[in-house]
Amino acid sequence: MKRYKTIIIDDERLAREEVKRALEKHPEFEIIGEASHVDEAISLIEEIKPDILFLDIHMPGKSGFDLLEELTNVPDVVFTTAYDQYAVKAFEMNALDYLVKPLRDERFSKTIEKVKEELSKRVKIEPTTLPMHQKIFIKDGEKCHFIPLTDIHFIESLENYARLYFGSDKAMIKRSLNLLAEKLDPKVFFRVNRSQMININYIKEIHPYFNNKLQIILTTGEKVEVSSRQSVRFKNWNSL
Amino acid sequence: MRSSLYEKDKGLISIKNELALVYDYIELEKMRFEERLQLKTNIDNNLINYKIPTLCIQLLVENAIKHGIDLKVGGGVVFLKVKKKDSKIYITVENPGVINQNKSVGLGLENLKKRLEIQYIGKASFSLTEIENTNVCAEIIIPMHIDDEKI
Repeated sequence: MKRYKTIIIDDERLAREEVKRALEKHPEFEIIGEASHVDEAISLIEEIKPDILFLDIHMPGKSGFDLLEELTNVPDVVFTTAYDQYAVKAFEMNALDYLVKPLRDERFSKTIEKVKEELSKRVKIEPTTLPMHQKIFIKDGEKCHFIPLTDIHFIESLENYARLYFGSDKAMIKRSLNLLAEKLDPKVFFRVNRSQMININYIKEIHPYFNNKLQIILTTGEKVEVSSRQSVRFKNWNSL
Repeated sequence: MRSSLYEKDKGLISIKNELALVYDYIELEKMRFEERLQLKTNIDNNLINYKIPTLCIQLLVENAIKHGIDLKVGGGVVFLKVKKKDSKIYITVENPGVINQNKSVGLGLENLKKRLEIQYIGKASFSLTEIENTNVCAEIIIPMHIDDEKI
């Protein structure tokens, strides 16, 4: 039997007990940790690297949404909360499910089925760069996103921040472009110059430019100028 | 708890009965908060037969938990005092936390102010103050009318 590493995060012990009790009927979920607040949860998640979180939203200090924002690798998440007002936001972040406490066995079983189905799709790899199918969590001001890396077509740096463009949306995160370059698959995300990076799958046209540089136009409309150095790299890298 | 809720129609309740409700409520919330929630009281027992607006202490305690204790990882103490001074009853509820400046006063406190105004025609007051940036103190001051002494 495949076993999934599970962490329960809720500030109330009784609420954690409730999730535990509900999970007793589903032995493939192995509860390997519990946390009562976000900071405790973060160290636990980074240490254990769980497959799935049962996560409360409203907690003292930092919320469940804050937690996801602080993680670099976000496990799958089922939100458990006493409120229904966060549902839309939770699903915007691609939560696997959203449970309103108190938990009912029948409803919980449906959640479990959904979670098992999702988790079985995940392929276990330990990459240095994030796999392209991975979804990342971004919180930009009040807006949260949970999007696959494949959706990001363009990244530009703004001092200590990076602005990610995906679909018709964009969001700022506090990460340098250098740091992102280390995390992202170099075969997909190409650093065209000091301040911009593109997803090569979105290249629509390439034009020669002055000084042996290249100009690239993305399917999404952005026009970028490839620096001389990177133009050479791009040509070498993509030639027979 | 339910029995006390029925009394709300009457508008006024003895401090004794209001406190009984509050204590029941605290017991209930302790199941949730466990060691994070503690109640400390300082009640002048000579006052417990005076009548006060129903659920007014309950409201302050609920707020103290919701906006104070619930936001603190380690929880804290709700300190409830009922005192007499210059023929006025002072009901104060103190909790750890700060006043959220971004949030305008909620419906509960708004209603409380209106009820005090209607019941005591300007002779009662309500205040919410911050103490040394660490605690919040809610205080209701009610005049001790002869009328209110009747049980």
